Amino acid sequence: MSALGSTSGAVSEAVARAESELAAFWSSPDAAEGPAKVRASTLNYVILCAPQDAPAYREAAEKLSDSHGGRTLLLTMSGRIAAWDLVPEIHAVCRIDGAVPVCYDRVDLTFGAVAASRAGSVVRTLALAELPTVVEVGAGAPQPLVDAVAGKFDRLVVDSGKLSSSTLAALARTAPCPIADRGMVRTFAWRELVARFFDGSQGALADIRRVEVHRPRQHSSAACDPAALMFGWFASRLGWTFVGRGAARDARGELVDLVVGDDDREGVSSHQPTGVSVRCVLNGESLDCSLDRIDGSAAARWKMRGAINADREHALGFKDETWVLVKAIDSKEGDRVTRDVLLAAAQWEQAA
Amino acid sequence: MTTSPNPLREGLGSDQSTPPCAFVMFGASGDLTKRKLMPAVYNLALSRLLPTGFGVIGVARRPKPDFEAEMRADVSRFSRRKPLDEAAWRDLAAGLSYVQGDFADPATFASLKEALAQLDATRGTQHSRVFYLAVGPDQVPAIVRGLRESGLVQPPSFAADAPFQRVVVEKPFGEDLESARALNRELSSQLAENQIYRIDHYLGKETVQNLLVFRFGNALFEPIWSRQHVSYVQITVAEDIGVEGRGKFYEKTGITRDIVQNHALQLLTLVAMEPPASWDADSVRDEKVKVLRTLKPITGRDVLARTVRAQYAAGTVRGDKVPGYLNEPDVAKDSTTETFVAMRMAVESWRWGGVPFYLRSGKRLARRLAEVVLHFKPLPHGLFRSAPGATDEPNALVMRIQPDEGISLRFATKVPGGGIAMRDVTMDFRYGAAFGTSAPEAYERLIVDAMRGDATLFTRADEVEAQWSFIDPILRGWHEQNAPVASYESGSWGPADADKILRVGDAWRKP
Repeated sequence: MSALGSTSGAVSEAVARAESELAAFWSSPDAAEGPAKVRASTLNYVILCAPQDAPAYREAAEKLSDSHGGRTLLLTMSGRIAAWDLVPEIHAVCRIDGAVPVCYDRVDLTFGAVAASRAGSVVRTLALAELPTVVEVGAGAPQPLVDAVAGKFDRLVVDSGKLSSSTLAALARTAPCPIADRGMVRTFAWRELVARFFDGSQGALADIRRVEVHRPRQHSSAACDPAALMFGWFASRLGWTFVGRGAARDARGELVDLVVGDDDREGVSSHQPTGVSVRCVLNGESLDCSLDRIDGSAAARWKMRGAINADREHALGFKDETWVLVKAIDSKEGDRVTRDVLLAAAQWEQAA
Repeated sequence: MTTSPNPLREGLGSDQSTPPCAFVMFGASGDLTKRKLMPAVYNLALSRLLPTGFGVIGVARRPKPDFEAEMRADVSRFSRRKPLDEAAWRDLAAGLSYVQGDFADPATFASLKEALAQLDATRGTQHSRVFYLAVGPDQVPAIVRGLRESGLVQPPSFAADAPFQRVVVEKPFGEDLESARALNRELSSQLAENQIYRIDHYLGKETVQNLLVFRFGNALFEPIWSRQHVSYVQITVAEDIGVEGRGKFYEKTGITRDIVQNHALQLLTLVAMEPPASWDADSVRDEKVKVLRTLKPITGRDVLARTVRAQYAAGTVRGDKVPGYLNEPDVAKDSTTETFVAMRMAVESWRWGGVPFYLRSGKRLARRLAEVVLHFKPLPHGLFRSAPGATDEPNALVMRIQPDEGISLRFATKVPGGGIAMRDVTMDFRYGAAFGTSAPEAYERLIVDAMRGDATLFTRADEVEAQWSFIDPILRGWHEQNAPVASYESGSWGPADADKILRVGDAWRKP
């Protein structure tokens, strides 16, 4: 469908025109003119991103609509339009599902510098009523849009694989709505498999003496370190406080060594660890637990040596970024846990 | 097994971790194992719902030198998730073994004991076991005796960390009340009731469980869920397939024993039950049993007046010409076995007094479909009776169990324009559209529940007997009164005679 409006006109006029075009699209035709459009809507998905990242997010929204139909609002800012302007552009996609077309829509909203402060109001107007609104803060999302929209709706999705730990911590501290992290989804299998080491031996959790996390050498320096997320998870679950990047003090005041290793293997995701090992003591005996990605496979070797001996292989279960986004939206992982982990990860990165 | 929570598991979604155990499948060479059980176990592994201490042993009479390769091929073919994940399979296969032997032979159980000890040592299964009896009902007593006499099943311990042994029994639970009681007696002579898990896979279906969430997780529907507002309830469990080469089995069974006694009555109890005190096994099952006990027995002449049995004749299903039941292999030419049944039931309770519950189930019907429909009462005053498109009973709530799982609510609306014209429309919720994920197979849910010791979705002994207490008089009445066997064209919605049991004004849906 067409781009609406030009570089002139107030925000409310642009919103009215967008509403009008959406209403026209969704008005059911008379039965004689063919089957009615069927809206399969489960959410409003709002993306805040930099203009250069918009194509990638559009593609992601398109894929998401296969399972989570609804309205996508993609918000960017541009210095090329007047500061008080808003340029909406409406896109609708229909696919044949059985005998009837099933349709979804997307509204691209480009804000001028001043208009951006009204983005929250625009989203509230254009969002489908009675449906949850999920806001994703993308990499490079303009701060005025983040301030106006993030945290103001039903769920906030962030990506610790793209955002810095300080940005994440700021959002975790201030967003009043539930928060989900794509990075937490990507590392779910790693954390679940580490948790398995202690299912039958919780006593060892109080006697962890060393944790080593390996991650790809090529991870983004602008984003939260994958190791930070793992250390943040340990610390927030077990009551550790960081005394530096190389050590934490556990709940009894004992030191736990923290070690980070670089992995030079190719073909591994830059957003995930490639190995986690834990040295601890169980009933007076030492216990070494390790989880290592197997070369060329989406699987990890899960080993325990010492007080308990076991050697297993587990699929890591990671699929693709659409799957990650769906899991973040449907997030079953506790909001409190995510917040705690993001805050602790930032503390580790800031530790001297 | 430990009882204190693992703090690293907080927020990981499945806080209730599954305890270590071995999963033993009796009947490992059968269809159920290859189509359902092994794919379910594999999908549980993929979903990370199996404990680390886990292993699988298949037990059957036939030699299976390539058991692992066979299981791998079956999982590749029948798993809901494809292609096979090599790492998940490798790990599962490392704990997979096979024991060949006759179920009546003590040597079989001695071999099984050795194989289980091996699993305890190599896979950390910690002496806990779930025995899944994917065998015919005639083989159940021998297996249960063998398990008990070999010491593979011990009386349950109430100690928190004690190993457990549980036995999952597949339907049919007997072929009538007497045989069901005999089977229950046999089981309870060897096992405690809390070690017996009678499986009706219908209860593992997401949409069946959603019936309870829909009713008791919303404030909107329960107030109208009664004789005050509901005119009648219709339950349909329809298949479009015929007996599919199982004529011999079907001749002894019929659709009433195969579907109605278990699946259809389960649906009825979930629709009609009172809110349970809590979501635990006995509270839920107590309420279901109460419904079965309030079903007015269909006896004497009522059997002819309130039920219809029928057989499919030749016809066309999904565009294919198909033969009639009497022309199927292994079916007697004078067979009276029913492939369709319809009945009008009465739940004699404060909530449901006077509301007919219609139930129909058949093979070779127009579509494969399972649904529960609540038809609401007619309008008390026909304000718009004369309007074009107006109906007296505009409201119906359709809960689709399969396929297209979801819920639809039908109501009347005004057609836009001058004057008053009406049209019925539906508000439609579809699981696929709302959640977009492939729902776990019923067996996945039920296997993991058995491992965790949650019997909520399994059938209790008194429930099975109450089901048979209702069904037995109907089967006996048909036999004693030589009830006619109607005929229906394959691909239709059943015989015209099914209309005769309806109250005036009620109608069968043709979805």
